Amino acid sequence: MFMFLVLALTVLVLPHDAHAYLDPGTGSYLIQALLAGLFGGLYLVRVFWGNIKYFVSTKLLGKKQPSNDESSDIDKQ
Amino acid sequence: MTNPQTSTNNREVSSFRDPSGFVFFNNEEVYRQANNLYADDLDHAITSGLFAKLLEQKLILPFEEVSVEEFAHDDAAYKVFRMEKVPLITYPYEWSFAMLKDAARITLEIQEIALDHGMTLKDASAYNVQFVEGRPVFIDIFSFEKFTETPWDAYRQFCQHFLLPLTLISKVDVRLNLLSKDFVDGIPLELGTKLLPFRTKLDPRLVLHLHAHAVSQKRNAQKNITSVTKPKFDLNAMRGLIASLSGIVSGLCWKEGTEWGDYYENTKNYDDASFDEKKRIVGEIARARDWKNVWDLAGNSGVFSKVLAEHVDRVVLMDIDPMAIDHFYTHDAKDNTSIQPIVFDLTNPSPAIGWGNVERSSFFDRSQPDAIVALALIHHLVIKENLPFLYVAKLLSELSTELVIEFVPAHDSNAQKVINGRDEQFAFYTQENFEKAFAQYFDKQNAYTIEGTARTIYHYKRS
Repeated sequence: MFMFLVLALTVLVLPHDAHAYLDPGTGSYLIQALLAGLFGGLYLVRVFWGNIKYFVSTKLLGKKQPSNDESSDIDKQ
Repeated sequence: MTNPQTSTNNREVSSFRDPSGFVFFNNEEVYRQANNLYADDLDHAITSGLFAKLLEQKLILPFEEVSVEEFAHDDAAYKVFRMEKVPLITYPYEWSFAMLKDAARITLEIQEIALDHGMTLKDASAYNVQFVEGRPVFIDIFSFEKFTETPWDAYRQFCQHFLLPLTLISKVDVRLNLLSKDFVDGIPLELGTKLLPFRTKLDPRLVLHLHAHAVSQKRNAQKNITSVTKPKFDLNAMRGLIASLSGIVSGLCWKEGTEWGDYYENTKNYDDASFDEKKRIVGEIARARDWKNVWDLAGNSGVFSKVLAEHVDRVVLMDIDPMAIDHFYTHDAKDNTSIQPIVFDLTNPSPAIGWGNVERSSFFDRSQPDAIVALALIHHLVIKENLPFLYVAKLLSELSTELVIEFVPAHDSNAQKVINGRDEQFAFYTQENFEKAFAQYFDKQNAYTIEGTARTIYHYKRS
């Protein structure tokens, strides 16, 4: 049991990927760790930018949806 | 973690840092051995389709797996790959701005593709990129490891090798790229950021990736948090980081290079007929010879390299002016794939640097030409650089067996510019003295006067 605990702790303490030979730099890690949320958030904004623009223009600013209304008007004529 | 280096025989001297594998040579072929400890990551790179995708996109140097039983360098081998050969190895301090920017761009592009396949780059060294046929290619196929939601190990290296030099060129001076020669792991963040102007502190992305990054590195240099716990950095955060870096890199530009880009199209030393005559002479000499590899020294933006390329296998376009090299690389490199551009100063060529002074070899060790073409150069060397005719002749004879060199007489307008009123001091600068000096090392094959000018093109063979 004791040996098992020692081994388990060793796994936690040692770096997990044995292949990362490069010293990443503690400062570099800290910057990334502190801003992980910001980077992630900005990335999601970029990915969903189309959706965000649509939401803002229709729901928040109350603009009409342009192309669907026009085509239905034409159909009615 | 073991570092299995059982033997240094036939190994590429610079390939030693990454225990995953290394480069070695055998029968004039280039191989990469993947060591056993890299097996898991390597298999994933293959089975996930990452390698296939990178090869299909032509982002990585082509390679094929060979029999490990037959080709392994030592017992630590898991797999061995034969790599396509890079015609001329060049280093980041020999690249122009556009070349460095392109190398940065593909490094980030490759990281994005790696993330699509559950992997990430372990390192982001500029030495992982080479230029082949006018395009950057990634050469370190063992640079990939599985992505485990931790911060990018290569972030510091990317900033030092790519972002900081590019920003220094863009915001300060193009010559600062030469700092890479003295700092083998890229320009140190703390040093390089001190040289940046205040206005770079107004751009939040540069503040983050360079200034704050430098401060954080300095403040935490003695701390060791990573061996205890690795902060969580999920896929979106990683993609966001890469997107941020891509954004800055693509937005960086070198204003002088752009403004002067067209200068070379319009500047000529003589009338059109004489210029065409010079091209005709160079072409005539090259056509009659069976040259494989030719240096076009002080080749400017490559006008004569293009003439040479019609008759020889490979041309190295070498010029001290990064603007000229940038112009060629940006406008002509992809259509003239046998011409390799580099920034090069004959009075101070790239030395051998790094570990043992062999890790990054001197330029003369990397390229041995069949012929050197030195047009519109001699007056710069002898008058501006105060090199005796004999010194120039001696060096050129040591570098190549054949030489095509243009003598620019003292009364030529370009020679007059560098003489700059010091006629007495350069009274020795005559065609007769030129011929005497070169006769000590070369046999004259032919001399062609360029009609409409007072210049002569000599074709020499080493005695």
